[in-house]
Amino acid sequence: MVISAMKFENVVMRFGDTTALHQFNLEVSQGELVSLLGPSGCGKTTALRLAAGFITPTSGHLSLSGKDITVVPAHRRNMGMVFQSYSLFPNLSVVGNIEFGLRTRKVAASERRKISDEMIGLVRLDGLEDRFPHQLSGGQQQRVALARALAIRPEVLLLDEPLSALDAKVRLELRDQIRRLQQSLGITTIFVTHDQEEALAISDRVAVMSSGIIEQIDTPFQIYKNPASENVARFIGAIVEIDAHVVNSHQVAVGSRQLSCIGADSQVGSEVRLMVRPEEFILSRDVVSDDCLVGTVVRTEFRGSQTLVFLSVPDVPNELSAIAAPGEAPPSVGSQLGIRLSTEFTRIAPR
Amino acid sequence: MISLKTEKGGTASKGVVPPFLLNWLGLLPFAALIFVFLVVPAIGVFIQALHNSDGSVGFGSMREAVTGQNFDAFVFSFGFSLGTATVGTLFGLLVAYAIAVTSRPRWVRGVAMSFSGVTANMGGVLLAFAFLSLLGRQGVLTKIFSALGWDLYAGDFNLGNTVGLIVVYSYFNIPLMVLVSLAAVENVKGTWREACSSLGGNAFTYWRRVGLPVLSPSIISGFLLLFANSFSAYATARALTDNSKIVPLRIGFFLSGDIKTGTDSLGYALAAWMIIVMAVCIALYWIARSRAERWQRA
Amino acid sequence: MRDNGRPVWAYFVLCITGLFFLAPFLTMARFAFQNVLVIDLGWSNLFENWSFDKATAAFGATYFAESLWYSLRLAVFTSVLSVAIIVPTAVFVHLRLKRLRTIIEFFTLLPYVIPAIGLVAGIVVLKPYIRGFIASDYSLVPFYAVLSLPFTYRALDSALQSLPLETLVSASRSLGATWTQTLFRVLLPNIKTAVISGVFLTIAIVLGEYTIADVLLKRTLPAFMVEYRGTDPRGGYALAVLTLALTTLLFVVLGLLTRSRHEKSRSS
Repeated sequence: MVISAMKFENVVMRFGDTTALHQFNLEVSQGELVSLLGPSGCGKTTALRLAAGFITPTSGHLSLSGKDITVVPAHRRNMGMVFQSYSLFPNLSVVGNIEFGLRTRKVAASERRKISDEMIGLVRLDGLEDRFPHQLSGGQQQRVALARALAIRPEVLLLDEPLSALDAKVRLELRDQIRRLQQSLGITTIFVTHDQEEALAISDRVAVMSSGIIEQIDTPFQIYKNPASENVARFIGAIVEIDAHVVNSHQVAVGSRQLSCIGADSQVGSEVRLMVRPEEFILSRDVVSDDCLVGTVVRTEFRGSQTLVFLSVPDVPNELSAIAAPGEAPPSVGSQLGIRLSTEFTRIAPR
Repeated sequence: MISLKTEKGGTASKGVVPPFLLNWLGLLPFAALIFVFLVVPAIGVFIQALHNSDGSVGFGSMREAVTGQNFDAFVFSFGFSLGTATVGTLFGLLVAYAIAVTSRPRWVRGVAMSFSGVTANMGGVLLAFAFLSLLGRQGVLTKIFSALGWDLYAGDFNLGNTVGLIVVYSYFNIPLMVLVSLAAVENVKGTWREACSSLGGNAFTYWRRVGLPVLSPSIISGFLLLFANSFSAYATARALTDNSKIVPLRIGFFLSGDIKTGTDSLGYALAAWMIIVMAVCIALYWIARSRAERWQRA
Repeated sequence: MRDNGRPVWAYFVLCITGLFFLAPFLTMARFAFQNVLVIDLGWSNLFENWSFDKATAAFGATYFAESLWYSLRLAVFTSVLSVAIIVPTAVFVHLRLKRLRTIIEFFTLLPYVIPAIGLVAGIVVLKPYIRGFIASDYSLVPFYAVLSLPFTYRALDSALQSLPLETLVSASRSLGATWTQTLFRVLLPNIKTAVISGVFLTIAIVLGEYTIADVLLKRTLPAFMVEYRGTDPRGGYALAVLTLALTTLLFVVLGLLTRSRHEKSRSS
């Protein structure tokens, strides 16, 4: 049996009358990067703080490499933490910050210097060793924070929305850097974020949370393709919702039109909601066939590698977004297009 | 009133007056107020101070103001202000920290801040009245103490002497310290503490290596402010004692005789020296505070 | 480190502090409103002989109404002067003279450098030259405005710091507003709390200041209280208690206003 690096077992966290986490179960494998993704208040930060040891669970257990750490205080857990607001010690220089954890572990000065030099090289802050936090930009500060956390060779790296306070461009660069470092060092990591694009881009697995529970935990691809619930489907990526009536095993009715659709066998006769990703629609100029919806182009967004087309479709309340056929020029506003479902689509939920 | 307001209309903001001049013009009312009602009286004090006792111009009075009994008064004031400032700083920090860690009930911070606002600015006479009714010879607490067997006035305790004044001054010094340092203290107890924990540092490590170092500019600046405040406090002391052991009281003493004669420059010299001491104090306070704020911005 | 927001030691400290600060008020109130000598005071007669008489008598005293009205007028005028000068100055500094911000702030500390007694000395020097000015009832106003400078400026400064000032002004001006309109319709509402805080502080100062009023021979409320205490000590204290109660009430209101703002920024 493989012992997981970090394990949450039936953890419940209550603050007075509110329950932040209900029966939270999570196993993180050695070297894995798991993201906790969800909107504010879903409990992801609470889970992270429990891992760090800043709060103690109301009930349940936490273990690290098999050892129970539920009651071990924060300063005795061997975890590195990076905060949203950087939290660099203002009275210490970059080197001073990075060496802080090493000093508390009574590492000799020469060894400390070696490690901090290595860290500075890793996060590419050479030349800035003697600067103080208020002399650094946001991105630089966060890199120091990262180096500081990694210097102590933690068993687990915890990141609490580390990129939220940064500019878009810096965010992308740093996100990349974090992932590459994490992989090359093979360090088990828990990453908290509310940005689904971020989570999908760098994680080995993503745990989508809401209201204190994990709705789904899986690889980014699976989460995207097979969202376990409407909540997850809506939170991850773009989604178009179409209310329909199942006519027979391969057709649904949307308003007055029929649409070919596979996988509806079990729900014949019932009202359903189709949750479709834009890339799962097929657009064509054929507007006459009776197995497709017809929409009017409202606007288009040219994005280089693809064109997003927004259509207004009768009986579909919101705009329907789809991807234009590759290689073709964007359709003109006002033109009519036929809309079909590709065979990839399988997400039918009862209403 | 100011150039800001005299410009009418939307887009054209540069008028006939060159921008450079406009900037300085905008500060005029403020500068005028300070100059006329603060600087000018101070200049007046210095002019009068630079006279000898025979009326001629010279440093005679300035020298006299720091010799003999006057010198003793300065020494006493210094020592006394150091004492009250230390007491005020220590207790003020303690209270500030207590407020910072109390997030429930929620009204604690608001009430504390408002209360500090009242007490830090309270007029000396009112404060003196209040303490007399508490700890004066006929005070309620004095009576409670004697009922418990401790005669407060057995020794030479008196609200007007050193110990008594330290107690009374604390009433406005502690809130002042709280007002000045609360923000810094709240900052210090925040995520830095957690970062330190995550790196393996316990409470002792934190305070020794991060907390106190970061707080020290705020502590020092608070101390300096309290020192300045205590050194120059007049009304409270006046209402509690009629000796003239501290500098402000001496100034008051010489000046009240002065209203009639108008030629005794000793009082003014004392005031001039006091202003110099204050200036040094406030300058140091200023430097310490800039340091403190720089770190808070990080 | 367990942070549960309910530390017992802190409650203890705050309670003791609270007692220390309330005690003088309470004993002063007792002295004023209870007609029992301290020597005779015991648990049995703790709640006897309380009456508002001394206060009512004071209200009826010859110069009371006059001095109260005078002090209130002073408070209003000082607040107006103080706000009228400091608000535009602070806005101005933040908009145009950012680099000078620290120096200007230093100047607002001058009232500490030249404290009340120093100011009084200066006034005595200047007396012969400014008899006309001093004779006016409102000669105290600018001096009190100067005294309130440190606190008022500090409050406004931090309020303006937290606003995207240039953006607001640019937006307002680009929509066609004049400077005056911008000041009143856009800026003031956003720094409301700081302005009110400054005003309340000014009022507290005016209602408690004695030294300068004394040297200028003005019969303000505090001056009246000192005088009245000579004739009727308990009455004098009664007035003092009421003044303090009023000032405290102002600050409680202020605390409630600032609290809700602080909580909004805390939770984000």
